[in-house]
Amino acid sequence: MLNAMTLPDSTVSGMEDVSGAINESRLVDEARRGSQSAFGELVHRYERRLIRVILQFVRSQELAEDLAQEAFLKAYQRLAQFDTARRFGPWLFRIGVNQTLDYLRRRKRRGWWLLFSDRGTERDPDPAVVDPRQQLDLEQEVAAVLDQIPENYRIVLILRELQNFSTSEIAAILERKEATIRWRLAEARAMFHDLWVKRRDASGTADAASRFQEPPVLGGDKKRKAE
Amino acid sequence: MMDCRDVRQLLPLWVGQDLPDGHSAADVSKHLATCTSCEQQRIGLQKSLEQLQSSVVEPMSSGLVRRSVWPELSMRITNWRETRQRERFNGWIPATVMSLAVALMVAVSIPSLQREFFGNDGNASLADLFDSEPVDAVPGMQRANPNAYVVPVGTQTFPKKFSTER
Repeated sequence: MLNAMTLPDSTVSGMEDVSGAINESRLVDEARRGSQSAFGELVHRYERRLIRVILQFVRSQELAEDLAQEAFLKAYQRLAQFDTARRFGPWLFRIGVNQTLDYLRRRKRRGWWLLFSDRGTERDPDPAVVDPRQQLDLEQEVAAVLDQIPENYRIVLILRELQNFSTSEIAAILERKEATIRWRLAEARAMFHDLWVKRRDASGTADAASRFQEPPVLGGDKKRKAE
Repeated sequence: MMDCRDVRQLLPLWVGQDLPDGHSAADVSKHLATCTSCEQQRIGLQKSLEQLQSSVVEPMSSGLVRRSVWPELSMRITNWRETRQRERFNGWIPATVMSLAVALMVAVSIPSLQREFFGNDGNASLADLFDSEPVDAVPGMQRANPNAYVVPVGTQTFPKKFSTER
């Protein structure tokens, strides 16, 4: 599996720099010494990946970009605290994920916010997709199920299933042991499966009930008599 | 040989190839080949996860070039650096003013202290401050016990000049 954090933008721009890690530590060093352009290079490398990760949690492009910008700013302000012996990617994603979770917690606390805001979890349809309604339906269904999974498990599931981070990478992002991440992942997958099946069964029953209560179609009696 | 209970515990990790090295994925595969019930469980789990994976939210691809966060971020970083520098500078001002005030007070008070203790004797030094007479020589002081001196109230007198002629 490709290491998603050492080749941050490879899936987006096709850039696969073998000496990326070396250059990256040099860029981090220069940024720590005050070079804004070096930090700009790091931003260009990681921004799309970070936005994609955040997007899985907030499901709004504009919001994901805003949160990514905040995460980069926070990373810049804390560069002096960064341990240069470690990789920049997991550190940055940790800041981004924590920032996003803080935002979601705040939003949950003031639930009225959604009622008065235009910026909900719903996304505008993407014109590039032929029929975006089906994809939006699926996204909303999945989001509803994910919401029922406790946060600690949900984060691991999203990072693994939707962003393809390995368990060791997730362990680095969340600063937990890999064994803990594996355990949470197994639990999260089992929970998602149970909830998904329940939801599907419930919607199947509801469909059947609505079909049963459906008013007779005009001319339906005649058809039945003819049969 | 694994039983159904063991396999169902490992199945959520097995489907995503996330089993740690110590666990035998091959044993799970063998069991699945012979156990219909566990195989059904695997199929259901895999289908649910496929639904989850296909719900991945992709960034908008409307044909427009997606804007980078860098131009705005770069301005915010510049503003933050300027503010921090200003705050640092502003932090130094009170400290510097305070230090200067203390230094000034010391500078002003030392000559007046010297005048207080040494009069106009320009040759007296600070060491002379501690070169005082024996306490017994202080008028009005009585010895209460061998280790302490008590000065009767109202009779305390302070020599204007500790450095006296011996």
